[in-house]
Amino acid sequence: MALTLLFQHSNWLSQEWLATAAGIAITFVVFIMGVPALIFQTFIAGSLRDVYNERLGKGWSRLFFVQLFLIVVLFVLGNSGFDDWLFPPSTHKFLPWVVLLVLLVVLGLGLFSLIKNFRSSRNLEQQLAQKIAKDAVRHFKKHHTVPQKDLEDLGILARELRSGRVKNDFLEQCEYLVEFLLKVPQKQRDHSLIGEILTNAVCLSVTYDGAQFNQENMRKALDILSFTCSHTQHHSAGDTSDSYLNTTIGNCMREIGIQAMLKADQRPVVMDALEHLSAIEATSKEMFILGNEALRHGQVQPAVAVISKLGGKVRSTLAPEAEVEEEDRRTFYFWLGLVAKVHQMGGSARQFALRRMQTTLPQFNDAPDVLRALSREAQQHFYKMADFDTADAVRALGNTGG
Amino acid sequence: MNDIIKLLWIDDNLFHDLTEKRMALYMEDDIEPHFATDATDAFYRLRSEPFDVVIVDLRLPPGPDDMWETYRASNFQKYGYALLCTVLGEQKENFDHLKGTRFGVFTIEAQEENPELFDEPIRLAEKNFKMKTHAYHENAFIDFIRHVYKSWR
Repeated sequence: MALTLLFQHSNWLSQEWLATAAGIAITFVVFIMGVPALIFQTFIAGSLRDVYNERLGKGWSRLFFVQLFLIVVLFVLGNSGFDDWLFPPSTHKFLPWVVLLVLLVVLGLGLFSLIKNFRSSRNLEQQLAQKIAKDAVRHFKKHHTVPQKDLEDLGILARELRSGRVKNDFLEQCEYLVEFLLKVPQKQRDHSLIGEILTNAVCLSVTYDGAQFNQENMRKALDILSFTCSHTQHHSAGDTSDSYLNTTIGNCMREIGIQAMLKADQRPVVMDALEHLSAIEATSKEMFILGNEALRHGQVQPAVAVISKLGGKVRSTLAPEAEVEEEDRRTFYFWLGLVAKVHQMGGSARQFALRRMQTTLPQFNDAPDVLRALSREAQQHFYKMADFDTADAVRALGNTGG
Repeated sequence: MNDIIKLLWIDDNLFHDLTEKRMALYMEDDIEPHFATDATDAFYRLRSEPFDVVIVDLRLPPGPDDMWETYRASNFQKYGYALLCTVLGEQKENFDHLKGTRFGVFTIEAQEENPELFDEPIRLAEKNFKMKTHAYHENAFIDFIRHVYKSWR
């Protein structure tokens, strides 16, 4: 109706000219911007669509508004009175060229957007992770904190991304963010924020129930956790926040190890998790849990590795006459608990357990009573934790004279 | 009672084709094995605790730390060598606790390809260099570790 009125006005260009311009504009809006935009949305996994539109979809809408504005300009230029005002006296010499130029700009922008979107559709997830990490870093530089929204979006990506390269790219962005946060001066460093990223993004990406991940992803997650721990250990004051981060990292590594144990093709990662765990202080409980869990799943090798690693600590800290620190005492309990569980298996496993008792605690050869007392303490410790199975195993080991 | 050898073995193939050797080490009564798979991981392990024997593979990945940037820029591949230079040379003062540590190299390359290992700052004993071959079985490797332990740098 509006178009018809405009066509009837003497000051407007011919019907054909304006109809062509309107036709091109409408076709453009529908086919060059609209349909590809809809198709493009199908490239993005449903669960990531909201995050994508919020983080990376703004460019499209900005471009769309620019084009709509140019289309309006096109209509305005259709008025010959405008030509009279712009290029007096009214010769209609330049107007067709200006209209043509605007039309070409509109089409060119549309084509540019189309090519750019389809070219970049290969690494959508990587772009998304990169954008979130960069936004978080930018926000931290200004306000010394990372918005909750960024953390939530990282959590969504951690749960939803496919295994393999896509997930590793995401983990690399998490690593970039964590490294940045570790490097900020001690006063501004927020260990609870780093812990949150490690738990809700890095660890979750390889432990979440429905998440897809492979060995490579699990190793990458372990490397990030391990690096964070080492970096904190060597570049901080050693206060309680360090201890919080160590506990968080220990828990994450334990979870990754347990998750790896549940799938046959990921079992080698258990040994990797153990190795990283053993480098962190006060993680004997986590190591015991992993070793014990391995035995429950019929795998002896991780338990042997734990016995070897905890045994080294026990050997260097336990002496019959010396005062033993609480943490070292706990390490002994967990070591003995696992040795007792292996002993319970009988056969060669029993032989291994007895041999380890002799080689790890030779200092108690002349003090069997002290060792018996420690063994009773260990039994009590497991009883209090309602781990009756291990408590019984420790008692049985004591009864055999081990 | 025999001495217990506290060992750090640094190799990126530990979780692939070296798993048998790794397991064999756990079963030895006189060896307390620890492992690292990249130069960064190894650097921090060496920073924080003493070891009796350190066995290094020359072709290691660098790991995440920025400290290897200068090597990265020149497309350097032998981060095992870079690690040894850092620990025994550039940052020696941070590794005083490793004065009694014996270093060995276990790598796929031949000794002749790495003459720099036997010069300053590493000064590796020739007998502490062992080339990886398929025929090199677990017992021979464990003997190599014991040999390195008995040697002096």
